[in-house]
Amino acid sequence: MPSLSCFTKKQFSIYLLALVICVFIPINAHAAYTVKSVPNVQIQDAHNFVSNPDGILSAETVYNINKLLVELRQKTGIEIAIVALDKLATDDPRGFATELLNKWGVGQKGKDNGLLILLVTAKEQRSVVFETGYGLEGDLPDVSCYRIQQDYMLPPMREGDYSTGMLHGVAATAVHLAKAAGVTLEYAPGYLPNQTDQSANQAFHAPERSPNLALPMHELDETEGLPGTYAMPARPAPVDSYDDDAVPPWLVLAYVVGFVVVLCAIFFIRKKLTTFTCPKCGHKTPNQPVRNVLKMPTYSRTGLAELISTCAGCGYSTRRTCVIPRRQRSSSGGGSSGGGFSSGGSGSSGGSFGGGSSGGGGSISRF
Amino acid sequence: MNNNSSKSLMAFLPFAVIFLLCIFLLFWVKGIYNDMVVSDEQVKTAWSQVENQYQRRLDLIPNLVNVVKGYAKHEKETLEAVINARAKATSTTIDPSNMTAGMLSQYQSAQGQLGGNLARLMAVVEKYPDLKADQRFRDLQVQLEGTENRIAVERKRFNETAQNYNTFLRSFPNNILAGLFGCEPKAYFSADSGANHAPTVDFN
Repeated sequence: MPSLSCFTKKQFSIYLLALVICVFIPINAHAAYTVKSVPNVQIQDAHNFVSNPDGILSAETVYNINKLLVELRQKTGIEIAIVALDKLATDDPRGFATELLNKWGVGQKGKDNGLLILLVTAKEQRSVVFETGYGLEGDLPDVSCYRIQQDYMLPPMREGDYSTGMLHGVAATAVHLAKAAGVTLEYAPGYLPNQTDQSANQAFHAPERSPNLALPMHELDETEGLPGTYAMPARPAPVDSYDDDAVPPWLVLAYVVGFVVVLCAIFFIRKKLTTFTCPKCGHKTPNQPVRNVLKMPTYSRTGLAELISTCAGCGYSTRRTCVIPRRQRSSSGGGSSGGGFSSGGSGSSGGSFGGGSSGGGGSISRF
Repeated sequence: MNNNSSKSLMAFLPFAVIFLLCIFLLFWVKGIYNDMVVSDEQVKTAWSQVENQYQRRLDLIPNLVNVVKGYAKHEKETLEAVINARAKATSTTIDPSNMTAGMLSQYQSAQGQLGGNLARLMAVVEKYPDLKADQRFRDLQVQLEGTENRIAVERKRFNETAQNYNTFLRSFPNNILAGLFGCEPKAYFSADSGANHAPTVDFN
């Protein structure tokens, strides 16, 4: 008798369903995001504050930003969440940021010291939004948010360098907030664009100050301590490779039809596999084999079971043996944590934002 | 002997039942009334938040008018319209305890008119590039835009709180008691027409 693996019906269905789902979910990397669909990366990894599902920010930038944000939270309790998306499902990035901050609860409950920085890169919606929690509105009023956006973030971002712009903006914000809290940060100052009076040892990127500044110089009297503006050397404009979001209707139809066909096929195959045709009398019985375990499986070897199928018509029964898989130790690697966005954070456990809220403060810079 | 005592007990039974019923009713009414009070206070708090943000906008306007005056002396009409609308909005106040739909819509329209005049002012400012480049003006514009966003958020939250209150009031059996206590449903903010929002100015 050939030894089959003892697939139970349930296992079979689950595997097949998983396969079908994997094939049929259209993976549209540039889908428009709603507040609900933005992945909350903080849940999987307490040291990850950057939600970057469209890959807009480089991995190195994400790493550096997280490094300085972890330090900021440690030293001041302030939580900053960074979200970089291609396109929003709504045309109101400000309202989106307000909702998102409140949904995730960025900032400590009661203190409401959270900040959400949202970057949207789709041409019609291109903007940077700061949403400040109630508790940060004093140290980071709307005007300061706007200045940081205009002076640190927009120059590189206009050229398409979102990573640099985001890093500089986050660093400037962190330095500003730390100063207000009377605390010094180790990493953040190293990521600011000008290193004239800071300790330049950890400089990540220090562009030369070009003599022809494209921007008007403004006095930063209210935000003293922050270095002045700078101009990036000209870069070629990025290729706009993001197609329009519309999925052609025939494609949708094809998916639906294909899905239905596969479902029918599954049912048909299942039916076939689970009816037992009696070789003696030809009567078709829905197969409910009696399973007797002959040998229990252990962690080191497989087990053996026999399946006895009985015909309802004439009472004839056949016997089949099958192999029961080896028992697994549950600690090995663990199954999926349920999310698709585990950052591979070696051993970092999940976290969550503190439950802070905001009232709509902050600013937006469209560009 | 036994018959007598059991008869007298039986006589008490209806009174006992009525007494228990009254106790039950009392607690039930107390529960509902207290919930209504809590909900009402939440609405009042949400209302005061809305007022705060509108006040914030009112406070920004004198500075704005001064800065614009410095560059755009000839736009007297537009500036005066803003000043008058602001005065009107300041004088339209509501007591949240007896807020009717009519009063709320009056308040909303006074604020909306101010918003409309502000929008017109911003449109006029387009003609004065020096004014647009003025740091103070840009700061005020940012602050105004932030305030508009805050107003929108607080209005939304007020509507949600009022909705909770109204739903509680109107569901059975609370609606019976609501009539008894004289609790009125709260009014909502309606959606503004687009002209009431100050336009975002693009500084590119």
